[in-house]
Amino acid sequence: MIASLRPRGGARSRLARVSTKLKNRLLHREVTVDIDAYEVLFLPSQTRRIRFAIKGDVEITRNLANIPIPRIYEYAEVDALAFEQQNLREPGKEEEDDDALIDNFFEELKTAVVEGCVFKEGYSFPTKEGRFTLNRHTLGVKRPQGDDINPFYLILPSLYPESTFNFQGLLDFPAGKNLFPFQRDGVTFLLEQENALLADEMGLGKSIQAITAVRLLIRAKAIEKCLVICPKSVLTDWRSKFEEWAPELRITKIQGPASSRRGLWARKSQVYLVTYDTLKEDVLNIDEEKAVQLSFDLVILDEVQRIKNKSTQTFRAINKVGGRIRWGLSGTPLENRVEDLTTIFSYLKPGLFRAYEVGNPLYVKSAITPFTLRRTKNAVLKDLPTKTHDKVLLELGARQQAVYNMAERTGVIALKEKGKTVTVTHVMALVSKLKQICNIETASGESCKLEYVMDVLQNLDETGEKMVIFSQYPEKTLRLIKPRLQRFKPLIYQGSLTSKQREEVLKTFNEDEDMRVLLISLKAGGLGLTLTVANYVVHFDSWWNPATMSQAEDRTHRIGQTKNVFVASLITQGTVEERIQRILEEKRELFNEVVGEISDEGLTRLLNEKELFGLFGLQRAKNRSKSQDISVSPRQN
Amino acid sequence: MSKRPSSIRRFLLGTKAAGFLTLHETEKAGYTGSFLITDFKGIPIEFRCTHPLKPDAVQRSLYGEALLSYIGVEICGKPLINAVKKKPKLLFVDKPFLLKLDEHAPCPTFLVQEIEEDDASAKPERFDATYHVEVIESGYNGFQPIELVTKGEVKQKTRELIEQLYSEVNILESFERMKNAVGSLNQITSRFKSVER
Repeated sequence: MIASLRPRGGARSRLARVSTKLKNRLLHREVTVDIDAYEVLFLPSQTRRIRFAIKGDVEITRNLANIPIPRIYEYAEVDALAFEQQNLREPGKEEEDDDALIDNFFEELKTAVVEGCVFKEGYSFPTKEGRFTLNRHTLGVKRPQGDDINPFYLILPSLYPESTFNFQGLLDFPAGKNLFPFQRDGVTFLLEQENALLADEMGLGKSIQAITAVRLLIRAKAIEKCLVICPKSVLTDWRSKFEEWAPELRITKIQGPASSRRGLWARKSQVYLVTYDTLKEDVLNIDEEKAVQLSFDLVILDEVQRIKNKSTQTFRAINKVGGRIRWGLSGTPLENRVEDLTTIFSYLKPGLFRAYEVGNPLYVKSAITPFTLRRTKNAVLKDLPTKTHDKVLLELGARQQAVYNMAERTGVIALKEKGKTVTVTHVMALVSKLKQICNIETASGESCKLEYVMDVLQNLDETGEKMVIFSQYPEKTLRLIKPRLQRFKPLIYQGSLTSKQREEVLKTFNEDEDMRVLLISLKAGGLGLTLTVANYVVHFDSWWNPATMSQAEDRTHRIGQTKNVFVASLITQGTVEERIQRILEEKRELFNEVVGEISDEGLTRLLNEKELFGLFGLQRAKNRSKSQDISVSPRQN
Repeated sequence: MSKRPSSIRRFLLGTKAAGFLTLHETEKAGYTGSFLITDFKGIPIEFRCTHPLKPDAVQRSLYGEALLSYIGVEICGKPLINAVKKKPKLLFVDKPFLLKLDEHAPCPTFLVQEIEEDDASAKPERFDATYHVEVIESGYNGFQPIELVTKGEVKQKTRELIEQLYSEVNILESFERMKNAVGSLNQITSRFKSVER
């Protein structure tokens, strides 16, 4: 007997939501289902299962093959629905979690994976009389008989082609998919290295090279399980790339609530995709029993600079993941310091450096060279359209200028009043506030940058070209300028969107010609996305690290882009923005001298306390023992 | 001017091939589709099989009686036919529902059945008038006569091809080969463990 348990409060609304979704999903399929009553009922708590019940008097009239099915169960208990009652009763859960829960439940029967081989046809060789061919019969292939059959008579030489660097004929690429020659070199490089850093410039297809290498290794039976760890924004992109480039591999995307994830980790797959944050949660679970033990034949770290800091939980979590083969992918591996590289390699190639060698940039560079491959677009993609940079210096409007002056003056006074207690955080807070005013003055809505953007967009009216606008302040800038750009039907992409919403935004922007502007939070959309449909990029404000901005604009300047790309960095004259810019440009030259081509993208801000305080004519407090770099990362939104 | 095919290529192009497609079911592994292509001497030219599929309780409920047909034709049969490089001249299946592959196969499709001794010539009731039942006898190899069911009449040329094949190759035995091979694969290769859906 199924008992109905009425959940309380917010849980009830979630239950209703999930029930409706289940029903819709069921009805949405091609199955014609006549269900006049449908409920999800909770069992008493001791069973900790949910029953999926279709009430009596229900007939499914037609199934997928259009064949009548006279009757379905009065109550169909579904064992596979092993979601704990608790899952459904957490009112705070996002809709995204509901979808994951339902997805697992109503999984369609998918087209089967087919494997197999063509047998040796025979050999042909030249003789004096001409070519001589030995066919299969001449070779005496043993004919299998009855029970004595050995499957390998049938399956020889192997179910999988052997690993080879000559792809011709052995690895079929899906229709229309071909690697550039330099990408084939990249695949070869990865296959030769158990520990590798593929540091190609943005847009050269690092993930595709890695996927092809994974595919070859799996087909050659060199590996069975592979883990790809990536930022959240590109998780879906990785999956779709795997589906495009290696459709025969079984992929599991690790996401959803923790209890579902345990099941996903246990699922048999060849490739597991997970974000850094999810991995951190699962591996470093305080409850040791719940912590997932992970070991793979191959671990790929996308945007490997995420583990540059040894003291972070991310680094600790990654180090708990076992992997015989370890590859890192990054367009900008050397963001801030040489130590970042040594930390990255402490995972990719443990034991590469001894302690006293870590601080020597020249040694570090020579040590990592055999394991690093970096190509630039200029070198390998001569046909790719150009990317033009433009630093646009703008003058604040009168109202904006007045508010800015007032804010800076009062801010500096406040800092001075703090005396020796003033910290980097205080200065950073003032910088942020001033930069926001430079973007838009909230009370009057005045913004010289917005005016500039509107002008450019109007000029683009005839050509219909699209623009991507990056800012580090999604709420205090992007949200504020969005209504003013309404004419160009702007879309917004920021961290607070769910994965599904993000996908929808990108899909709409890519497919709908009327959507001309995409407003992107630098943190949420700076990595991994492909936005080649746009060829105008505007940095509404500048981030400390030019490499981060460069990564962001390369969302448009990558393979697939057919037009020349124009990048504009907007800087307001006579403000803190201009002062920061000047220091960064000086640093850029200094940094290049030390680390050379490895870091030509990874320019660092390298702003120490003295320079930061100097922005406002302040001096560093004397009680600080030594200069320290200010480590800042884009604000999470 | 078109490039002249190599001797191996010419040899392959000239090889007549027959295809045998079936769906295996085991309680433990689930359903596996397999497709063997041999020449007219019974020597394998190509072999493809699917990873095992194990529908879950919801899928079993919703697909009902159509489950087998759906898995056999849509999920396994069509991809198998699309996957093979060597296109056969004749396609044999051993399950009635696989006859639906006739619409997708590049050649005539036949359901192979052993003849039941008590009523060798009767048309099975489960097939309507659009299906044609033909009894084929083996040549010098002396295999037991078999019954072939197909949609529409069998052309004379096709019939000759079948007789030529059946004089050399025991058609029913070809299905046994695949059954044994897939059974062994399930045991030997961990990759072929079933996927619970």
